[in-house]
Amino acid sequence: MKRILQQIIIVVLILLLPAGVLLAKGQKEERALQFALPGNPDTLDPQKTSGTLTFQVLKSIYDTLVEPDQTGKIVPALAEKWSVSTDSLTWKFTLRKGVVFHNGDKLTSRDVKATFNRIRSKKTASPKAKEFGAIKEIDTPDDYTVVFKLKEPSAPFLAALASGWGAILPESLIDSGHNFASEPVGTGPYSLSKWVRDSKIVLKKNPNYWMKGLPAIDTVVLDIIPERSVVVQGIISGQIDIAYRVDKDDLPTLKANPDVKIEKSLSSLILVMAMNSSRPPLNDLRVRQAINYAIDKQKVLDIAYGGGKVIGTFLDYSNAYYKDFTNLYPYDPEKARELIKEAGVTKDTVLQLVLPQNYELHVKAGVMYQEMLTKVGLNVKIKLVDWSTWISEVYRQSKFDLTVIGHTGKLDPDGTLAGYGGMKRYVKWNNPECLSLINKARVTTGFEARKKLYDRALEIMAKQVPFMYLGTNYVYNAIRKDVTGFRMTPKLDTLDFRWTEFK
Amino acid sequence: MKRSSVSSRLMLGAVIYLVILGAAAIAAPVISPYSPTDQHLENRFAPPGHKYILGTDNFGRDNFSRMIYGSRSALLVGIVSVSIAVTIGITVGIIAALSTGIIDNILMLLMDSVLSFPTILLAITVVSFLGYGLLQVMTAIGVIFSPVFARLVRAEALSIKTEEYVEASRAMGSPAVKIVFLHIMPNLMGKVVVQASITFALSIVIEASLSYLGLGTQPPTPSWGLMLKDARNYLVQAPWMSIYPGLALAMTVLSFNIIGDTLSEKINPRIVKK
Amino acid sequence: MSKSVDSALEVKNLTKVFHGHSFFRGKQETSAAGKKETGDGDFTAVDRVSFTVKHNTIFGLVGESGCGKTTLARSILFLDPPTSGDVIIDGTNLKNLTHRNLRLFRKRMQIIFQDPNSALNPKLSIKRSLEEGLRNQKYSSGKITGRIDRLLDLVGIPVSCKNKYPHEFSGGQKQRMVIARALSLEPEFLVLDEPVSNLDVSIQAQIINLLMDLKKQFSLTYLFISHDLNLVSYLSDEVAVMYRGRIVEQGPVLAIMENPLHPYTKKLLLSIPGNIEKIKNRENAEIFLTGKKPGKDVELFSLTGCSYYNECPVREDFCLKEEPSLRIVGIGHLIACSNDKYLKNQLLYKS
Repeated sequence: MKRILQQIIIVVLILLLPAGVLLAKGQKEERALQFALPGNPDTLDPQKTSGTLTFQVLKSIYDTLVEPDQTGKIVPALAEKWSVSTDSLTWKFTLRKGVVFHNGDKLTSRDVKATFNRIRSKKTASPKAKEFGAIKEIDTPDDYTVVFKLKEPSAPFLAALASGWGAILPESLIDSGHNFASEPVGTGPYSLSKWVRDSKIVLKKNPNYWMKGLPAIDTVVLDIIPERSVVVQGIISGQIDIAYRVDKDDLPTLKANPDVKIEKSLSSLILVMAMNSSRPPLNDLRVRQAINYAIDKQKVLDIAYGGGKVIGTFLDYSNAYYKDFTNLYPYDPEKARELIKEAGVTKDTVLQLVLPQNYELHVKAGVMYQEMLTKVGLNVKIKLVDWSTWISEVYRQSKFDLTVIGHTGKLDPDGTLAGYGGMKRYVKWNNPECLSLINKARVTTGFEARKKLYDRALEIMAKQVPFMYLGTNYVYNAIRKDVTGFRMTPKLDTLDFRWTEFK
Repeated sequence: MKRSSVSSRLMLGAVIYLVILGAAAIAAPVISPYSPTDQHLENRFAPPGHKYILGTDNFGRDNFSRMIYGSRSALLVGIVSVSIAVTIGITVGIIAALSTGIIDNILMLLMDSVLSFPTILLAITVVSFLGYGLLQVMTAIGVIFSPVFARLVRAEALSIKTEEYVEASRAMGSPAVKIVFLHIMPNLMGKVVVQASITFALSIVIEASLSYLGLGTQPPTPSWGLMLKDARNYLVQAPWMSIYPGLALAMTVLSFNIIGDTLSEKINPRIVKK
Repeated sequence: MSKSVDSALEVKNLTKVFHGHSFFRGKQETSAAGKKETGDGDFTAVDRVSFTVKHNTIFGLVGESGCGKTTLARSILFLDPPTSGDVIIDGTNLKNLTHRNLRLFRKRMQIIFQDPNSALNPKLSIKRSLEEGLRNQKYSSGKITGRIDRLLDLVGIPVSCKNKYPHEFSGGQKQRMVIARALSLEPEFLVLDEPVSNLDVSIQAQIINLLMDLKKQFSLTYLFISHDLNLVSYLSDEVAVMYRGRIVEQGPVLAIMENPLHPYTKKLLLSIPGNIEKIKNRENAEIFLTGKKPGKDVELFSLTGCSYYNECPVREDFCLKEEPSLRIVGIGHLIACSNDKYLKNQLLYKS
């Protein structure tokens, strides 16, 4: 009896713990924006990480020369304008005047040069250094002009400048070996006030920010809360203002609360079932087509991924280069069955569907795929593997027949498409024409010129189906009704509080 | 008197439940109204009713059919892993008991080191080595529980070894193998059976836990643990998804424990009769 | 295996040492008193014991419980082979037998235990218990059935009971079955290790009578082990008295009973009620029963001389110096005592 009582008390205490944490956080004087962050950034030095969380936080502290707008188009930021030479090898940027760093330094072309020299230096060992591998040299003809000379034409160069790893650091602190990892200094809308690990990151408004009148809120607190249920409770009780990427299973609970609104947006994911296109019977185009016909894509998107837009080729729906090919393979199980019969595939052929066990949504989709494929006469066996096994065996060594995964859409389509059509990519799909189109698009500048090339490549991919293209799913941010203007940067998924305000 | 009648009634209930469960597992294709993997996507989250007795899950699969097929996984895991554990346990335990000195010490050191790990943690480790899947889980559970049997068998065998009938048997020139099978084994089987019924229950729980973590039974094969894993996101929306498999799991475990307890009282009658 | 050899059993310098626990050696069970520590946790349970048993006789071995009697019995039968020394049964030195040959030889020597409740496997029917040895010797099934029936008949158990299990019988009946099992292989030599001490007094006599009948019928040789000197003297032709792993006195039963020499033997005999009159050298009976000679006792582990020193009423300082060895004091009469003066006194009563 005593033991049972003890256990009950322990359970109750455990349940009360997160509530207590929230209560402690609830005491605030002047209203700060409370944002739920699922974990700690590994570092706050933008040149020494590839961690998504870091770049999400650093978006408020640093600026880049250019940045994507809400549609994904790259627009001026610290650079007022830019131009490209006809041979695509010289990029000239004109800097905005009157921008100051948090430490008071004025932004000049020397800061830009020092920044990119730092990230390219072997000493920095930046995981993102190769993004700027095309740079031959950087010239600073005057304080507000930066000229990049490239070794070869590189269309993705602009996207690299717009990404988090293109953040501009002050030259003086670079020279003095400043510790950016815990004391970041940029030109961003907010400066770091304090970072209490495993608890919170506090951001204070930069009064000298170059966008006039922005940001709107004085203090932003990023509360580090890994536990999903605590986040949900927090937003319902009002102790959290914004929770991004909430689980769709929590949506009914959140929607039921009148003070919470759900903002739905398309993610940048390309959800697919990849097919090993050099392994029989998947090397037979008819079988791959059959698999595309066999799947009721919208249903899988809705049930497994919480809704989204169906895609017909290998690019995310909201990408500027996306082209619609969804009418090529509509849901048609009858046709699928015929194609499979034609290809002579019987139940004796076992197709192994490898699923990354830690991604519950992909596993759910996999279970649905298996059922749908079974119905058209294929024999599919599911095998769950952990993430490291998936990376090494499926992604690196192509030891699979079918697998379910989501590719992250990139700011530049080359980031997604590079290498496809060649045997180095895990789907083992050989199409020299597609590969050369993609290679050509990389060294071509100008949206229209590139789009032509990509249209053709995407059409080949859509018809030859090395994947079963499913779609791009919705993501949901839960926001208190009195908060407006929260943005997430397309493709980069960074947090943008500049326009966020209380109503 | 009262106590023993309560315990014998419990025992009867447990046996009846398990017999029904076993029969359902064997006759699953006959009893199940639907295929356990058929997705009725138009009937997702159907509550229990006359079309679906125990409702449907997030893919519109029939909960009742999945539970019946799930009992197959559960019983299979129990039978196979306990067999593995008992086989290894008896072999190691008897070798240890009969050999003196270094072999005994090494074997027991090995067994104790296995015993000293938390069961679930060890199961997860072993399964990550062997790969995910029911067969791997059964092997892992079997190996993990073998030290319990090895310890038990060794202790029993050591005490049986000194019994005078074993001495007499040696004096009559019986070879060691004959002594083991004629005298030692039959006299320790009682305790092994008790331990086996408790281990049976434990292994079902571990299979369910591993499946819950996604390391056990591979979807879409139904297993109670896997059903609970799917159900945990819909506790409010579709409580039947978790309640029934949870109940089946709890009752099965309870039944095996009741049987184990009752048997051990019978074998070790010190505490009864009052 | 000729019968020309004079003795059925010859034990020479048999020593059994139990080793202490270590990782490499494992644990050897050691029980209670009567063992000498020799360092490193080793115990000498039986210390250089020698004696001879003639064909068709009963040799009694007496000592208090824990003195090493049972260890000696198990060593003689090589159930737990001796650390050193020889056991020669009917001319065969057991030490020289291979493992396999030893197993085959075992049918010639059998043992009957103290506790019939533990001596029968509860999971086996009487029939199966009895046929075990016969199967070892490759008897045919038909022959086995006949033999089991005869054995049961011999020990007075109804043949109809042979499919029953041990728990259905009384202690006396069980002991009869144990005897039947021991006889199943037609041994020539039997060790009886306290065969009746766990039985009701009323049953004891029956079993003793059965054993005596059987001895006569099959010309058996017994090594009879007991703590009960009275019973031993009643049955045996020769008697040896054991104290703390050593034989302290040994001789023909009459010599021992009428003229016990060793103080320990005396103590045993005098403590049997109504026995005093039978003993010839019963002078100073009290001091042998209770008294000790004044003097300082010695810690057991540092004892180098006579192991009876601490309890001995006739001890002298020199008793501590060396261990007394057995020496002849009469026909077949041996004693381990260094006190010549005392012995001389005692021997005066001999004639």
